[in-house]
Amino acid sequence: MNPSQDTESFIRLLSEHERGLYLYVMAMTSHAADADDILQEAKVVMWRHFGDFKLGTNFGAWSRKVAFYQVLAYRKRKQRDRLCFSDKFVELVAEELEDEEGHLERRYQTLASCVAKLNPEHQRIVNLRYEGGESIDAIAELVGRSSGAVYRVLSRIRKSLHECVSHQVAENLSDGEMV
Amino acid sequence: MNQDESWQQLRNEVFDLCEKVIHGDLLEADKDRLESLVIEDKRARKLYVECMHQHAALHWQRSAEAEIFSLSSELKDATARESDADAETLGERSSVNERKVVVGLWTWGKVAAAVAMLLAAGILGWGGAVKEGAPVVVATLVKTANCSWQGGALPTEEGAVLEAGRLRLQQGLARLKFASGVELTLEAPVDIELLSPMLCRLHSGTVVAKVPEQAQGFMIETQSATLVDHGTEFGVHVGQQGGATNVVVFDGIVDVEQRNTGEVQRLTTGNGSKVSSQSFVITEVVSPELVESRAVVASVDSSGSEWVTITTQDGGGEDAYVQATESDIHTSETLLLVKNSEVFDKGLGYSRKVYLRFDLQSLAKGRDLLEASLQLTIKKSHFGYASFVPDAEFVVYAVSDDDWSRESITWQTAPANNHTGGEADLSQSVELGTFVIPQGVYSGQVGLEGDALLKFLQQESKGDGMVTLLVVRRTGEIRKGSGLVHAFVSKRHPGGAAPTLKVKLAR
Repeated sequence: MNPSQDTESFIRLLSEHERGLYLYVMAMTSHAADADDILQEAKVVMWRHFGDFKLGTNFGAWSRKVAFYQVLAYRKRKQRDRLCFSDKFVELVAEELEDEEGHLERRYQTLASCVAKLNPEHQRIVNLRYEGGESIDAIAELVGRSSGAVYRVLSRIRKSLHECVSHQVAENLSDGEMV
Repeated sequence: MNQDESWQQLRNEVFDLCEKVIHGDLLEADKDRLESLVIEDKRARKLYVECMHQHAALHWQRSAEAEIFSLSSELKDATARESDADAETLGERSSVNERKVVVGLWTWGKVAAAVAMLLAAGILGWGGAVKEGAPVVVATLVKTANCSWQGGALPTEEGAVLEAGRLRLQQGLARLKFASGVELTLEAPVDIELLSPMLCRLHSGTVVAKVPEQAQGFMIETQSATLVDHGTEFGVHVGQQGGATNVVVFDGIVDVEQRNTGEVQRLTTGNGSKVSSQSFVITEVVSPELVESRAVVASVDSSGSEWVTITTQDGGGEDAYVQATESDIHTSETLLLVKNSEVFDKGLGYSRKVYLRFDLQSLAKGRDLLEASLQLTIKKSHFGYASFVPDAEFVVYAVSDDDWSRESITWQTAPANNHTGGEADLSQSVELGTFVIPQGVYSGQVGLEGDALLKFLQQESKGDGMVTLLVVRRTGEIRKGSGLVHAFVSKRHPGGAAPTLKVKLAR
């Protein structure tokens, strides 16, 4: 394969798996800025080692493996400044993400319809938080509530979204073949 | 307290701890508690992962930043960004908009090299953040003059928005404007594949490209060469069936890479080059008029063997799938569905098999076939769950009976179909080989090569020239009825490559 074909394959594969990879890293770190840093490094490592990847095999699994080591490396560097989960914890979480990939993908596919079911005020808060990237304090000011109240509302929204998704996924599964 | 109640309590505790992780106010004691819950209790672990994944998904789905969260922007930014060692502190308290990226963590030299390579390859600006289900607009068909199109998979009216796909212009002149700003004029007959706003593949014919500054790095691939543009206007001509590539630069700079050797030469204004797999010549072009005549005259490939591509769109080709039970749901007009399913009460109800017919009559008689491969493009069917089908093995059979049509073929009438099982009736067919699609793979290409396929095609090309292949999935499903339905692009699909035979012919 010549370099331009290589580049094209790499970018195609990465584009296809970008979402999955983002969710994987973000779920492990839970912080957008950390996830961005890690992904950035992981992609460079992937590109550098793309020669080791065998076309036709599972790029998703390969890219997650690369990203996993970047998560570990990132934690090591940050250990001094912040709380860090143990290696055992991180490994088990990564394993769960890998094993439950299909299940989590179904949850992902269902999430948007559950967000759509939220009442308008809650939808607005979700948008401000996730789309606008507003801080809790800024959201509080915009919706005219205290920061504490916004904090609690966001927690409640996430919990009800989780329940809505669980319910729908279970329902779809019992329908047999998914349409 | 019974078990359900205690799990309810634990569940709430995990939820609360998840919130603290998300908010970034987890205390040392909380952390210890969460760790022991997640490590020791499988349910707690599952819940924690679901919550974190959901938080991530909300970010991805709703964050405008996800849109630009791409290799391109990151790596490009990296080249311009100043090193900033102040890593952001945790969590929601700080705005996502304020995030900074720490470049100092990288081994800068290697990153710079990787960035340079990607930038040089020229497709960086369009590589990333392609969300599933949102097809990328590659180009717009801005102008057509006296055009007639052949077997095209893309819309061809003026103003049509084009996704990735193949265009075959039979007559006339058509102008495309790529999303990158590149203007490409097609001079019939042209066979071209649009791949991205920065990349297309010219199978045959003549095109003229006008590349504005912001689209530097635009690439045209041909069978013998890759052309990387550096802001210019240039013309390309590729001879029929993978002939030599002729390039003429009207204004600016184009890098030409010979595909099989990797040799790169730079052409500047007034230069022309002719590239085949055997030769790579650069010449000075004396006048624009000469340019055109050269381009046309030199369309014959001087090399010996050549590759020919035949799809199910060509000639008497066809593709279809049959399903064990007639059904109005779970069908597709544009995809070829395959499944191997046995359900206790429904028998083979959901099973599906694919039939392909290729017309080899366009191959010149008397020329030997040297190599052959079958290529199928994988798509997501959105039917069934991938979790219930492991890595799947597919079998390709050669079928002797070519007399079937898409309109009338059924499970019962399909040639060489074993009505009561997942495979073929071996009294009317021969197994040519197998290929595997790993679990969870929904895109890319798969295919089959090998002597059995080659011999079958050699024999058929001497006969009536029609070839029927049957593709079945040998691998069943883990959960009856609910397993994934695999899908391949059919000749009716608007964006993907139809089933294709690639054949190498001797001189």
